Amino acid sequence: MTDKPQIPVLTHAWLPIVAAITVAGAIVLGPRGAVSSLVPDDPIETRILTELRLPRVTLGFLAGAALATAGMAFQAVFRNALATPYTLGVSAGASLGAAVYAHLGLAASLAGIPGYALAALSGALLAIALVYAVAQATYAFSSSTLLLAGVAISFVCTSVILAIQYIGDVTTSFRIGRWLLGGLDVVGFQPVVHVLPFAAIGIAILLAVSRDLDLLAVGEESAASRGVAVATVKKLIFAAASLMVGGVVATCGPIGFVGLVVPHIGRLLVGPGHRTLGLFSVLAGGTFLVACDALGRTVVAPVEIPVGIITALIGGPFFLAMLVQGHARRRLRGAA
Amino acid sequence: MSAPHLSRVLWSSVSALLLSLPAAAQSPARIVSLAPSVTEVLFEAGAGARVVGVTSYCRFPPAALSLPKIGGYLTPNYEALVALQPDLVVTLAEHADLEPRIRALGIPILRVDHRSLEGIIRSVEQVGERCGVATRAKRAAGALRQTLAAASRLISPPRPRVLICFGRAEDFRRLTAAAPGTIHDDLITYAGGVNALTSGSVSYPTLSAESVIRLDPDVIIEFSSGSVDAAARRRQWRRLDSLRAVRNGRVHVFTDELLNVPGPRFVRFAGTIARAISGD
Repeated sequence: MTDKPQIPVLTHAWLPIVAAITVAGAIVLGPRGAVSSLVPDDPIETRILTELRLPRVTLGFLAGAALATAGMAFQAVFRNALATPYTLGVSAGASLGAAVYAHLGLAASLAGIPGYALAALSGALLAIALVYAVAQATYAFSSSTLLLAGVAISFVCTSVILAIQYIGDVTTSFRIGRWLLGGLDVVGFQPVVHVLPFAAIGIAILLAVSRDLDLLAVGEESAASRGVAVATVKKLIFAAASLMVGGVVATCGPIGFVGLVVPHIGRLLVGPGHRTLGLFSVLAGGTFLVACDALGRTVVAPVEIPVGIITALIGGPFFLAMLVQGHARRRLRGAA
Repeated sequence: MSAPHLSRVLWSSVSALLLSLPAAAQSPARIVSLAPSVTEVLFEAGAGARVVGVTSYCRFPPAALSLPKIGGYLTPNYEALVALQPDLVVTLAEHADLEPRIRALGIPILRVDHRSLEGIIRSVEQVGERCGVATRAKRAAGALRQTLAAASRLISPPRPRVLICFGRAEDFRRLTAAAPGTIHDDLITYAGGVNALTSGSVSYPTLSAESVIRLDPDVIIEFSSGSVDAAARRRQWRRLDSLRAVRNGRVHVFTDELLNVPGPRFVRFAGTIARAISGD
């Protein structure tokens, strides 16, 4: 591997700066663009800042970083540009858990963790275990089997959710619908504490295997010939990314698009090397989600637009523009 | 600090304590409603003057329009909620997953149940008791119960079989009907009818035109919200003229917006339904 670590660090110094400015902006931004939280000695503003906005921005950053890093890892392992953190059915499993919980009419909590989050986490774990069991039966933990099992389990979970919504009363439907919207509107730091271990461990593992990701992205045979224990590494990546996404989804709901698009933007901006790309995904994923949430929270305040709607609405056109631009640049370079 | 100043501070803090203790235990002064039907109930019970925040969907009574908004009905904005400093938030069963967050902000919650007509009436009393206007609320609840009793008396047996439906396309696809156990079934029952659907395994099943023809109800009630022409909707039913309700002119289309809000006006609508069913 001939990568040049010094140059990326210097050329991409803008990223942490943009991230810091965005996060700070999101923290102080009040409804309709007012810098409300800077009002001194206002007990209500202080409460809003410490109990609502700081935890929300922190959770948003954690969730965005985790989803983007997981998406990057899945895209590399499956060598599939369409892979997302949810490709393996984690999100559908979590949603099914939450739907069953709402259908049973439960409303409880355990050790401060809300019941729906526990139900969603159980659903996610169940989906992961099922996909794992199916893939385990194949040679070298086959990637295509993993993908197909994930897609199949997603479809099954989704139809069970639809069935529950259909047979259920209005209240159940509303509760499920609300969950499926996802969101970062938390109160207090406890949800952040719940997500933190999943995100921190997952991100640490995925950053640590960046060289293996580089090799796997080229091809499993060539990775094996360069000494990568393909099946073992894939299991590690699969477990780390899935558990991380399960932990995030259980608390934040299925927030889409971050995990798909941020790694691709990273490939266009900082190149395909996973050491730099991993750090980019952490920073840019977190920043992107925080920015989208700040927008959703303020544009039509006090009505909030769930962050999942904003991520696709802003990220989609932006990504398309980048794709076209990147293609044009490559063509120019090719002609030169 | 001077002596008079000190005594004034002492006195004000003691009196504040004395005043706040019973006030906190008794009646909330700053109430936030998390649903349009809750807003209606709060005003019906006589606690409307103490409502300081409603959802952006709360359009009735007109006084609610000018109140501060706390966001959507399933997506309240917690920052807006805190800023209003409420001492009571009134919720519905749909808010079960949001309640822990409101509680974490230290705001007391009163949950009411608007999944049945009796639940709506009972919620008027609950709100009244909690807000210290029990007498007035009991009177309002009593009036609602009388409306229901009067509606029930309009029809003499045998009770007609009624199908209550909504949300169909012009070609009768995606027709949704209300099964037993739903609030719309309540409406049929109090209005003197009996639900043409007998199985309650699915609360709001989608029926094909074929199933509607097989059910062949005596009366069809259609709720159609939004800017639709009730007469035109009614004419569309002529396509299914094998239905006895169509042949006998017993199809009724209602487009009132209040039908989307299970509040006191919805309870009183039982009278309108009863007159429609009996007026043939």
